[in-house]
Amino acid sequence: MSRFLIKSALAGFLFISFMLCYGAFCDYFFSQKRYLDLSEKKQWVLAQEGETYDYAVLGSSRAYGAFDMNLLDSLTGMNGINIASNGSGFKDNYLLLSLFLKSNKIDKLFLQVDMASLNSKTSFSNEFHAFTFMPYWDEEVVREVLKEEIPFLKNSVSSIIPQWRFFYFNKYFSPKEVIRRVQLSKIYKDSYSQTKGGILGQETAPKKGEIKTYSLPETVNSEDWSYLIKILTKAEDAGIKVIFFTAPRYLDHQEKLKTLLSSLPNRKIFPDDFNYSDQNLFQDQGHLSYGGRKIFSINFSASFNSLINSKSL
Amino acid sequence: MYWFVFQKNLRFQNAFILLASYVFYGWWDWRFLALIIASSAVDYWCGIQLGNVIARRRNDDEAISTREKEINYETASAAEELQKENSKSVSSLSVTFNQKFYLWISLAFNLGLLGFFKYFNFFIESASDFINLIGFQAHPSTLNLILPVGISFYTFQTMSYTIDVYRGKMEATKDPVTFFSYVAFFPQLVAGPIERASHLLPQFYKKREFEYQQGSDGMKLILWGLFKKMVIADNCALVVNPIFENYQTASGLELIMGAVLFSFQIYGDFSGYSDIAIGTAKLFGFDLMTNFRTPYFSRDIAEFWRRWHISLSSWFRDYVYIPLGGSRVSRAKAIRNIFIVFLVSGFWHGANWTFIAWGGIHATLFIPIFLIGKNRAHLQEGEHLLPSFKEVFQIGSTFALVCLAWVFFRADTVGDAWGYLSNIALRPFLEGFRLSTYMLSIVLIVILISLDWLMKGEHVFNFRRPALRYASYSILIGLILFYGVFFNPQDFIYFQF
Repeated sequence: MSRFLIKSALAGFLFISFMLCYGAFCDYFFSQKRYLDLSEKKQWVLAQEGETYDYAVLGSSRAYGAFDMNLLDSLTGMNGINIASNGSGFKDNYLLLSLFLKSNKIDKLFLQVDMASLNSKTSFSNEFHAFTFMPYWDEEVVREVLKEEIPFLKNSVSSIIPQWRFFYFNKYFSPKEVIRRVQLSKIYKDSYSQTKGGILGQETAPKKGEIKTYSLPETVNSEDWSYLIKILTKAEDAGIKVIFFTAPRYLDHQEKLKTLLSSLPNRKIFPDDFNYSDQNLFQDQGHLSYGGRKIFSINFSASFNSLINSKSL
Repeated sequence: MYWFVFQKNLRFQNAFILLASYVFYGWWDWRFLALIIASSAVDYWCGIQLGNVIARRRNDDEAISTREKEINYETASAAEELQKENSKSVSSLSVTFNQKFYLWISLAFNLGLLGFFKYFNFFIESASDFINLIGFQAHPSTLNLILPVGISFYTFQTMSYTIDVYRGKMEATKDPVTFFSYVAFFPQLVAGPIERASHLLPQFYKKREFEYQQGSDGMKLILWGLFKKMVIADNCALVVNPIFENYQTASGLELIMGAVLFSFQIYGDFSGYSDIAIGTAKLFGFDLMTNFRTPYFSRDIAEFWRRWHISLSSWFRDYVYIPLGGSRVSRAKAIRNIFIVFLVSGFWHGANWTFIAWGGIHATLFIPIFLIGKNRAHLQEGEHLLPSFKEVFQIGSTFALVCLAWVFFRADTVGDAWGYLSNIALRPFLEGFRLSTYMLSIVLIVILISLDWLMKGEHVFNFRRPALRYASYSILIGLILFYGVFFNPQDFIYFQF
């Protein structure tokens, strides 16, 4: 028995030591700016450092593809950045904004809200990209959210070794990924800088054929709502003015959403002159084509400029 | 606790196992503990009653045979002899009736539980479909039933006890703690192996002392089982699920890959669980029966069924096939028996026509081998390190047939299974196929097959050189940590049965 116990204890010790060491390595390696994968939008946002912007656009893929950022800059006379990313709900947005604000400054936040992001569980295939934030365990805001999200961290026994999290999402933190990141760092390719975080034009041709329509959830998830409020609080604390907007949806004026947001005191921009029934402006029901993006940027800047002129901001 | 505190007292050890088993099961849903307790109580009682009846019959038989001897020597009137003959036949009749009565109580209760929780809705819906088919209108009302985890396993295990006592193969146990522990023994409670009372129950009576080799073998089996489940099965599932969900639009090659990978998914999933269960039992000083012996190296379907889910196939052999007459009846009846066993075996898996079709396919594949008398052709393992060309062909063709049958097992409906198989031929063969999607699964399966082949018929990691042994442990742990699916893992497939 004692032989078995000694061997088991030794094996357990080696196992835990390995996890701690590999976890410590991941903590270091994956948080290094030079090893971030800049072709992945969230990581590109996290790589930004020491910048000051007049505004930032935050939200899901609909916000990511809503603006021609260079055009919007020229129309508003401001310097902005698009930090919205695919499949992001408010939980993702909250953490991304928190980490972004650690080393960057913004004055205004254009926050994209729609019924999908207010009910992320039913709308997104992956409601929260926890793995993106794994290496930022040292940040309290990250720790608080992840502890609630990951079973290994929720459990009181396994939470003693938080390095578990890298194995929980091993697909993103494997030795193979380490090698890939090292290779990537040698060929620095930052395609987002030229679009200021916006989507590249050629990726979003207008939809050929009929656009399939689908309806968004009608209810609001309380957790999503609470993260929306957390974003507002975070912005308020940093002295940032939050302006709500929603990217156009084909044949859908999103009236329910507008009614819902009316309970919040923040400013809203919902350009009325956008043609919601012109199929050429969309690549699918929820996402604009490059033509639609240009028109929406113009409409949005006009609304924004009138907001500025009315001295409401 | 088990080894240090309770080692000196067998009853405490058994009680500890019982408590641990109930906590384990109750963790899933404590309300269903009542079912296990009821099933155990009924069979415990039936066992005792059967034991009493059998003991009484033995006593009666002994008394009668003694009396008969006396009659030969004494002078007795013809009337007295006649009276005794009559009473003897009455006694035998009532004993046989009582024996059957208690057996039927056990069978009715356990099959009733199974029938209600697992098959009630299926029978209602099938009857309604049939009524609608013949032109009448039926509006069935089904029940919203939760299928208790492991119900098919523990009911079969407890029935095997009553049947063995009924057959006089084993004595009824009078120790309730031991019997209840045997039924609920947590390592194999929810997904087998389905143990026989004659194999497992005596181990509860034997003083258990920790043996290094047994403990070490247990740990190795657990590691091997985790690899099969977390690395092989769950990675295959990530590829297989989308293919089965979208079989209408998948290419022919994708559909073939889906069927092949599902074969490894279910093997990794189920045999992985069995290994974990057997390994865990070893840590408690118990030896459970082997449930899988490298089934995909089988050279024909008959051999496959001697290697796949052995505890279930041998259960059906002993408690259904042989009582029906097995193969020692006319050809027609033997074929009927084979069909019954395979169909029931399929139906055991779930209340769906797909499982019955799966059983039917296996029966159809088995019968030709049976008819030419080759069903016991491959009782021995191949002895060579590498298989011959003939063996490769036999193994390959058997595997292909097994894969075909798995499509029915995996599909939601028989129509979907037909659609899936016909689309292999009808859909463009290579359209949209990307080898990279399958690469990880293929590499992992090659590792599994190689290790399975090397360890064929042996204990896992039975390498003589310590360096080789420790290297293989480390590699396996590494593979689990880096390629195991921790995020959104799949439930064990057999939990649903």
